[in-house]
Amino acid sequence: MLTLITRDLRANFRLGSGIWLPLTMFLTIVVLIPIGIGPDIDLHSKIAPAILWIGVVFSLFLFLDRIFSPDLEDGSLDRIAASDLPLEKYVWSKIIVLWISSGLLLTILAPFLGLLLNLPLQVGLICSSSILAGSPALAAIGCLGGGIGTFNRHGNLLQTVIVLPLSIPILIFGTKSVIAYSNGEPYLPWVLQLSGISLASIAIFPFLISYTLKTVLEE
Amino acid sequence: MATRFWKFANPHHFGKLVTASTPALWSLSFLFLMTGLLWGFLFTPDDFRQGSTVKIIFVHVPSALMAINCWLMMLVSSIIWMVRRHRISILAAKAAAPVGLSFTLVALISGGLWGQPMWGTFWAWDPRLTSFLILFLHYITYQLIWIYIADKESAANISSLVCLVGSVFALLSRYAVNLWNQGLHQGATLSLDQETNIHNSYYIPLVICILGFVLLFITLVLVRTRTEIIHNQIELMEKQRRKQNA
Repeated sequence: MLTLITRDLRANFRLGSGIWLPLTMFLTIVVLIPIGIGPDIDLHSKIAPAILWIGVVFSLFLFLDRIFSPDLEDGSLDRIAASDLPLEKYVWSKIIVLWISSGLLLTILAPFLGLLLNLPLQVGLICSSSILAGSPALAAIGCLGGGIGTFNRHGNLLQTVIVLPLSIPILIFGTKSVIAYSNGEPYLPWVLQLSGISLASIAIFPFLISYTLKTVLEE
Repeated sequence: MATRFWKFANPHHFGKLVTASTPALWSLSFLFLMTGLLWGFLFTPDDFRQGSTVKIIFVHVPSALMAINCWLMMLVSSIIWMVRRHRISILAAKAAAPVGLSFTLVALISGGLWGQPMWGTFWAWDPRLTSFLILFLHYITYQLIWIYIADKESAANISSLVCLVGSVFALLSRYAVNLWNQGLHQGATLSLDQETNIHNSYYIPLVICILGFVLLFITLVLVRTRTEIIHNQIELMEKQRRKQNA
C-alpha cells in the first residue's frame, strides 16, 4: 500500500498537473471573487472564510477524473482487484494521495491567500486549521466522485456535480469556525466536529468507493 | 405477512396488483384532494392576521411532508436493492425520484409565495428553507445518475449508493444549518404531543389534503414503477432480438 501511495504521489509531483492544477484553481478563485466584488476591503475580510472554503472545495473537486481513470484505462485496476490487496486499501491510498497533493497544499497556501482578502494572518491560520480538519472528508467525497466518474467515458463534469452537495455540511462547519473565532466565540468545537466528520469519512468511504469500482469492473 | 409482501417482488404479481388497484387509487386520491382543497380554499375562514394567504397551507404542508417521505421511501427501497437485489425495489426508487422532486419544488415555490406577503421576501436563508433547498439538490443529483449512467445495472448500484450517502449528508446539513440562527419559519403545525395546534377549522381539511397527497404519491409511484418495468422488458427483448439477428 505504501508502494501505491509513493507511486501516485511521485506521478502527481512529477507531472506537475497533479499538484499545480488545484493550486492554480484555488489562486484563481480567490483572485476572481474580489475582482468581481470590487475594492471593498471590509466586505472582503467579512466573506474571506467563505471564499477560501469555496476555493478549496472547487479546486479539490474539479479534477476528479484523473483519480481512477488512468488505472482503469491501463488495466492496473483489474490487476489490483485480482491481487491479494483489498480494494478498500487501494482506495484508501488514493484518498491519502488526493489529500496530500491538494488538501494539504491548499491548507498551507490558505493563510497567505487570506492576506489578499484582508484577513489577518492569525484568522487565516484558524481558517487553514479548519481546512486541515475538513479537507480529508472532502478528499474522501472527491474519491467517491472519481469512482462515479469512471462510468462516464466522455469526460464531462458529472462526478463533480454529483458530489458537490455532499460538501455542504463541511462548508458550513468550516466557515462557521472562522466566523466564531472572529466574533470571539470558541472556535475549537467546530474544528473538532469537522475532524470528526473527516475521520468518519475516511473510515467509511473506502468501502463505498470500492463498491463503485467493483460495479465498474463488472460492467 | 412478510412472505406475502415479498411476493410482489415478482414483476408479474406486481403488475397485476397495480392494474387491479389503480382505478380505485386514482379515484380515491382525486376524491380526497378535491374535498380537501375545495374545503380548504372555499369554506375555511380567513386568518385574523394572515388573511386569505393562510390557505397556501393546504398545498404547502402536504407537499413538504411528502417531499421528505418520498426521500425516505427511496432510501428504504435502495437499501432493499442493495441487500436483496429485487429489481422492482430500485425501479420504484427511480420512479419516485421525479415525483419527490416535484413535491420539493411545489413546497419551495408555495412557501416563497406565502413568504412574500408574510415575511416581505420570497426567500430567506432560514434553516428550514435552506435544508429543503439542500434536499432539492440531492434529488437533482440522484436524478442525474439515472440520466448519465447508461448501463442500467450500474446506474441502479450507484444511485442506491448515492441515495444512502446523500441521506446521511442531507441529515448532517440539516443539523449544521440549524446551528446558523433562529429562523423565520414557524415550528411544527401538526405535532401530536403539543397543546397548541392549528385550529380545528383548518385541521380537518389539512389532514384530508395530506391523505390526498399520500394517495396521489402512492398511485403515481405504482404506475410509474409499472412503466419502468415495461421499459425494462422492452429493452431486454430488443437486446435478445439484436443477438438473434447478429
